[in-house]
Amino acid sequence: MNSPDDRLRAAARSALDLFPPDGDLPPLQPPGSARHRRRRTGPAGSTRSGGTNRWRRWAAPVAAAAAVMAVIAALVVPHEIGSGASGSKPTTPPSAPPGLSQRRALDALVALSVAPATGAQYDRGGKLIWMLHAQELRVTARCVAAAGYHISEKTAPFSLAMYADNTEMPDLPRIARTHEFVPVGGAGGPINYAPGEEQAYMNCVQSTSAIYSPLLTADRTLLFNWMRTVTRVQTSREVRAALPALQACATRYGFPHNPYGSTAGPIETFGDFVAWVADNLDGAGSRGASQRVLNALERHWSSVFVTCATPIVGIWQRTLLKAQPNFLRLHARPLLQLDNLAWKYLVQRRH
Amino acid sequence: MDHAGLQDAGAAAGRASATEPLTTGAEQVSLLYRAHGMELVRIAAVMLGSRAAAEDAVHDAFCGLVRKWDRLADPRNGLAYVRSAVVNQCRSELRRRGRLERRADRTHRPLDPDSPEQAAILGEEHRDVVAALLRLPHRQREALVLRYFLDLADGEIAAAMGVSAGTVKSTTSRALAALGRQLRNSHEQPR
Repeated sequence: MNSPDDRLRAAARSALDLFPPDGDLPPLQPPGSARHRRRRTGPAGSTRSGGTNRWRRWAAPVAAAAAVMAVIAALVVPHEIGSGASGSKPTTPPSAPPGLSQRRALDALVALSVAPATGAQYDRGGKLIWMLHAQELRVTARCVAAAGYHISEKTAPFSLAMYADNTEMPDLPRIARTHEFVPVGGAGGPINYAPGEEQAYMNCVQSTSAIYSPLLTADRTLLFNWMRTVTRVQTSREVRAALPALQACATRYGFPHNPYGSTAGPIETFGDFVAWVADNLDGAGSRGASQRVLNALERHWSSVFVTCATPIVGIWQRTLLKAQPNFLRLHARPLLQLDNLAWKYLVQRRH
Repeated sequence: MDHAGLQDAGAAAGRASATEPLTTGAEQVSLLYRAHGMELVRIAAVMLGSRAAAEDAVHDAFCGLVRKWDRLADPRNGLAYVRSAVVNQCRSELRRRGRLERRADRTHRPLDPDSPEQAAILGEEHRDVVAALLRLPHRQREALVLRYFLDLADGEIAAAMGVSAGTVKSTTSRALAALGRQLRNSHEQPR
């Protein structure tokens, strides 16, 4: 029973046992009932609280970038207070103490990491996760060394495209500048390890993960909450009204032609458009096109992507920029906790 | 459940709407939910690797059907609609999760495919195949899950995925080849 076909059939039989047709289902809560949105499941299957309409109550528009900076600056205040001797009265130090500028930079990074309103912010916020990965790798490498093995603790330098998300948070200025639709992978090929080394490595990964999981969980929880807002904005009437123009633009560049031969339907979401552009690139890649051809294609399709996406992305980014300050204010406490964890694990313990 | 069984149950829900005094869409959807909810949870669980997420996806898909029931030209299309809605719910969830996982990605560690929850979905003996499934591109995964775990015909898979039957054939063929490679690699490369 080695063919994929056989193995899939066996797995399907097993699934039938686990999920029998007459198995227990949670009751259907129809729309409109108070318990309709009984729970939402997070990325790890965790249960999260139901959604709210707080985003509808966002305050009047403000100059977005300035407002974000104000919120970020407000976040810094507790650190300044905390640096006082007794903590009885908040005092503002006459000049920035050593490390404060570093702290401010980290504060900004934390805010962008959990609540990016634009693709550029999303890309920049990814640096926090890169710092976490780099720190984890260092700790893991030391642990592996203690077990008598060696792995490199060198991390690839941070690049803005490292965590790019073209579907939800496309960084159009970067794509226009670099003509890079998807980041070039640099992971290298798989490596074989001896069983002992493998075991030592996995043990170390597990222990390192335990150290940093509170930071990662805090980041993901806030980002997840923010992304619910992003999803709402991106499915709003205003954004949906821009889809015909997106389709018209795509049609000028050949939509729905697809080198895979799939029949592309109408563009009903921005993701459909991204998938069509990606298919054009993937199709060439899977057919063994040369690197030169792929580069030319990427240049072409990145331009198409930026040209067609700019209006609709502009709409949702404007809304998100208005929403961002309130989100940061509403989540000031968990944000500060995340900020403190990041400071503790990524800056203080690094040295 | 085999394909014929599914069709029968779907048709039963449709017939019920034509012959029994079911007055509201909610009631008819409720019938459909009881008849087909679990099989859709099954495929969503395989696609998402989490029973709780699967139940959410299926629940939301059926709630969407309640809202759209009056606009369905033929109530017998309810099952096809909700199947497609479940696939779309899974896509959305995977996109959302993809975003988060990219942020949480670790260079050296596989995440979801080997999670305890994923293993619990189908048990240890099928962990490899499910992990390999989860590494496939979304559309390839959908095609295989709908074919093998729901036993659908090409036309029905096409309707659920929103593509042509020809695309289903080519996608399934590529997906099986990719799955075979993934499975071979998982045996040859420990990580």
